[in-house]
Amino acid sequence: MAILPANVKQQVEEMFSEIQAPVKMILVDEGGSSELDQLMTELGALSDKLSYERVPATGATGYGLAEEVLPSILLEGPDGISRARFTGAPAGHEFGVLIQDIIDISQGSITLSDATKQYLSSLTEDIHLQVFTTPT
Amino acid sequence: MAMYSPHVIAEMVDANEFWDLTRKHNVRGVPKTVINDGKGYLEGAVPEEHLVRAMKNAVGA
Repeated sequence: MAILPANVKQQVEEMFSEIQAPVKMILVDEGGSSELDQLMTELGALSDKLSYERVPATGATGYGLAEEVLPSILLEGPDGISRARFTGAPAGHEFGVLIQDIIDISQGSITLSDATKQYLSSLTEDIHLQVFTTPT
Repeated sequence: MAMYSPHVIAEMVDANEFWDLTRKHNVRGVPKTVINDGKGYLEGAVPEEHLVRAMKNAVGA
């Protein structure tokens, strides 16, 4: 049985028509059958420019992930740098954020102020931002 | 920000699913942003410049 209802699928497919450069979704998890894997497979089928890869938990550290934060979804832009991660299933509001992030990454659309861009360009060390949300 | 700089990782964490992390960072309301594992905290959906200020406080520069 499909996870995405037909109307949502259609809506996401329309949104994905805006995808420009290819984006890769990577799911790092414990393996086995999972709804999240099925969801990602269904999403990946909605655009030629969106690919999906599943990586076992043993590969987590290669992506800078700790096993305690699995399952995790990473979004990789055309430059192969992972831009955004979702720790836990992207349910509720986060589902919309995931879809929008995929489109934004593919378009390279940045809406930051010049001051922020300047600050980000000056960074010499890594900054990890974890935004805690709830699915509702 | 993560799209603009390779130094920035943006992670959305499901607070309900990861209790250890939620407890560790004392998350009582969402959204809450944790910078570099607790070097900085921000509560609520704040304007961009507040986040930048918090990032500067957390890592210097």
